[in-house]
Amino acid sequence: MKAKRRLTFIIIVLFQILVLVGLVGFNEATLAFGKTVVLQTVPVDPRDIFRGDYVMLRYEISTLSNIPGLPMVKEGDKAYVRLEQRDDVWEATYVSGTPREDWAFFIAGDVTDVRDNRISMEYGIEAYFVPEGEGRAIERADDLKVRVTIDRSGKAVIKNLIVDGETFQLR
Amino acid sequence: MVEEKPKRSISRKFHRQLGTEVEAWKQDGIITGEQAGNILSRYVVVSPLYGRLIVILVTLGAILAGVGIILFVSANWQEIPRLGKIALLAVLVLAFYFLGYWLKYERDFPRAGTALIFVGTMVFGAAIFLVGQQYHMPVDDPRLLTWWFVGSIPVAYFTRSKAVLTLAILAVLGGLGYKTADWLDAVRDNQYTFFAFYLVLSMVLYGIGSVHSRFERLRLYTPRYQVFGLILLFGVMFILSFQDIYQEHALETWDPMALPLSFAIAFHIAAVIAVICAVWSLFIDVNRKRLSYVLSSDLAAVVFFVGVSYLVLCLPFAAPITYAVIINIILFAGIIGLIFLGYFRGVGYLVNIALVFFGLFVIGRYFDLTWDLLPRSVFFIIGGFLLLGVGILLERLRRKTLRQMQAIEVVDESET
Repeated sequence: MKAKRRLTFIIIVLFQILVLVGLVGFNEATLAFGKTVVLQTVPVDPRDIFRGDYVMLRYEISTLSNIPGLPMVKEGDKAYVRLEQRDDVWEATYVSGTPREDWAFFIAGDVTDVRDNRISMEYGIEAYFVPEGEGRAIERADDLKVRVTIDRSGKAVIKNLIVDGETFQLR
Repeated sequence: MVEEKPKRSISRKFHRQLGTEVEAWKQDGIITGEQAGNILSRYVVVSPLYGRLIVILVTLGAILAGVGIILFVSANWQEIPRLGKIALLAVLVLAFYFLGYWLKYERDFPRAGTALIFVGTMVFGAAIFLVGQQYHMPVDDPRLLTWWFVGSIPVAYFTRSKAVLTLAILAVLGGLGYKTADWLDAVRDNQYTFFAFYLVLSMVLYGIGSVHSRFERLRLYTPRYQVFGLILLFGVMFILSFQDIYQEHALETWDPMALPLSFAIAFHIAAVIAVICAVWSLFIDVNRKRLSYVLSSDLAAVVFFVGVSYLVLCLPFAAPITYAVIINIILFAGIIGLIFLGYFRGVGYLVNIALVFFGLFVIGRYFDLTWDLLPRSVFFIIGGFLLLGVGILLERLRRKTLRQMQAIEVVDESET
């Protein structure tokens, strides 16, 4: 009875640890096996960009217009965006409800808004946590790019920032 | 000769009632004076405040320690390598749980142990968010709260901790809220969809509580589920009872078919779960041959309010005033119904929730300046007479109800 109770409790607690390890594992796996690309951010309303201990990020690929596939996606849907390299940053070249077989590389996100042949997307990489006080330097930057690692399913994890050409790396 | 056994601790109130009853039994010749003495000597009065004090002190202490350690971890976040952090957090979670378990089950400090396990659950939540932050996952990512819920719910049932269950329920409601916000980015400016979803969720909670109340071992969780369910239900209904809410919305152009499919599916699933829980409760009653109007009212209430949630979701009428009137009638009837339910079941918290919302309802309608179309005076007069009628009815039932309530109260107290 006592031993059984102990065992049950250990299993329950280990399950919680498993949740934590899983959360770490999935993100680490993306970072380890994914492909790293550089995305260009666009300025966010300066009153909003720095919120406490994180920086809000908006990307060029957060708003899509004039690319194929646009009329096919609906608000609230999941969507996949083909990415292709132009110079040092990667740009969106196609959007679709399912990733197409001939795509070499894509990122997955949610369609949050459709308006006049222009859609807004969220990819789960819209926040960057920084130690307290260090957000200002990022806020003042003239050019902000983000290195993002994306796995084969299109899931993206932020790797680090490029602030005016310099890598801003948290450990 | 009575064998020397450890005395059972009871509250002062129960001790007093027991004294009165034992004296009456002695007077009526049911028991002898010696037996009366033996019965009373089995119990010792323990102030419930004392137990609470222990829980409060241990919980506060554990929270301080936990927050301190988490602050230490996050302050030195930069210095500690990534995998070192997760190891540290895991050790912290394990430490709270195992210390709590040891105190509660192996050393007979149940209150202190339970408090530590509760804090362990909070530390687990903090750890999830710190890991999320580590990988720059947005705070409003619904998965984080959902994982917190999934991890905590077994702890709540294993340790029979109502506090952990509360935390778990709050986590899942929050997670679903974030998820709904994601879903409903698409249907801008339609807060009804949000409200409708929480209405149906409130019935899921109530239904789950209803099922729990049918099992001896699970009965202690019933109040948590039902209190959350009812507060959610009446809170949402109260918000919807203001006419202004409808006036800004273009009801005639609202198309529920435009909702994201995944949201619609989640909504239907929640509705089905709520109804299944209510039917299951009734089924148990039928099997045990304990069916009564009071017990079967759960099914009626759940089915009815699931229906109301679909009404709010679909918004079939074009005139705002129609909704205001319908919702107000339902809210008023619901409050009165809950008072009845509380009295007939002898459950105090149901009555208390109903009374709080009755107060809010009266205040809300009194100050509701847009409520011109239906004259407020008529509304109050009708409502007032209804209540008077209810009061007179209750007065007639009083003796019977009172007897039932007291019988239940004594049982309740001996259980705690």
